[in-house]
Amino acid sequence: MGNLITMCIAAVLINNIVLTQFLGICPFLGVSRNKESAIGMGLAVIFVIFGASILSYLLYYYVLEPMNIEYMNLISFILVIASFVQFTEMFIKKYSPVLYRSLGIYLPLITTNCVVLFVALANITSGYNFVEMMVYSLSVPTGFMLVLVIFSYIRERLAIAPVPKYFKGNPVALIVAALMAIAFSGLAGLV
Amino acid sequence: MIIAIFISLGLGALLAFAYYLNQKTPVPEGCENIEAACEGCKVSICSRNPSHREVE
Amino acid sequence: MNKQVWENFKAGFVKENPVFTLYLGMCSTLAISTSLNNALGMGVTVIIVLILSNTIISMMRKIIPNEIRIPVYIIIISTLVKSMELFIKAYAPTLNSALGIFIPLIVVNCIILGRAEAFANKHKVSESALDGLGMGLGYTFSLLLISIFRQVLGTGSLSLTNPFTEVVIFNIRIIPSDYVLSMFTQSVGAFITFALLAAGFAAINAQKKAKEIKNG
Repeated sequence: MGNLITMCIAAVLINNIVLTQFLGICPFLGVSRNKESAIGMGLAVIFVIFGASILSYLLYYYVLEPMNIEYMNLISFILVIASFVQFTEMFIKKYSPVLYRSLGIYLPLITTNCVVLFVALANITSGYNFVEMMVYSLSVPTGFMLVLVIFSYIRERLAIAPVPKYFKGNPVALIVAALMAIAFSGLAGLV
Repeated sequence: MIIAIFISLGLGALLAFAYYLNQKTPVPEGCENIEAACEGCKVSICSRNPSHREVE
Repeated sequence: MNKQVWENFKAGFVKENPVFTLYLGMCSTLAISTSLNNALGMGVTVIIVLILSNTIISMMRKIIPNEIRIPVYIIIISTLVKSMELFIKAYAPTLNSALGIFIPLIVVNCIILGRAEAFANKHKVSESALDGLGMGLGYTFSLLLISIFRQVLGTGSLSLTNPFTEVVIFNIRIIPSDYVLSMFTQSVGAFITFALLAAGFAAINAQKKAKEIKNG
């Protein structure tokens, strides 16, 4: 149990997927213009990563490994992730327009998100068992959402601040990300 | 080796099927014109990408 | 026709630079660019995958049904990337341990899928291959810019090793090792370097556009 809590804190704060491991920068810069879209994107990412990594894990250990074709992991994972996202979007379209309006629109963007494939692959290469895998695939996107929401608050202020001409938009956002990275690196000794 | 090809084609067919169904499912009313406050517009698989709109 | 092709090719370097102007494929860029070796290795891999995927998709563009073209592209690209990963694991193991999990992540690199969707399924094979080469070279050029910055400021020396034979090609010390800013080898330095270079490219593009408006 303590092991799981350590893993959770490490994945959310210390080895934060955006600030320390540089994954998921594309949606990080693209969807963080205001708070509502950041929260919607964050929840969508948590849902997709959780579902997709459970499916990939089961696929790997019950289909690929018994047949000795582990080298198919990349192709099958990306196909499973993409299909899962498509089915989820279809489901949400049919049964919940409210949910679709708030987070369904970000679902297709998550397919080519590095974070999903990274978590699916890391679950295998780190050799987690089922419970550890579930904790890891919930903690990593929580860290992503945390940083994304904080960043969106800052960016809303930044949009009306006097920024130098060529830094407007993404460059100054990246400098803010650098400052957040320093701030989070101060948590390195936590566990 | 043969099984690997079958699995990849099978999963690919699953994805193509899901993608096709998803394109055919209409967006719920009231949601047609959401301009997502997102700049993922270079990601071509996103259904809201302008490159898809030119086709229609 | 030839001029158009050449303009397309040149666009990948500054005007439509995939990393600094279009902000595509950033995930691998920031993590990889700690040294010249990694940047060249990743860049060459992406160039090969881009050329091959553009060629194959362009060759098959009349056969693929339009509704399911993106799933087919994903299959093609992931097969190519996995083959490159196995090749690198076999013949360049130091590159493999340096790049680590970022070689499989080339699959979700927006550049490859984006070029396939935007260019390769509408143009001939030769033009698509050339476009792949242009975009790939632009990407490699950006990676090299960032890594030269980060490696020189972060470790003080610039070095290149042949990944296949482990022979050091050159190793120059530019800043004495007591004066290096080690923050550039970590995430902070990556973000700052990227931000400064992105602002620089924005400035260059804006001035070019102003000149074009003034001239034409």
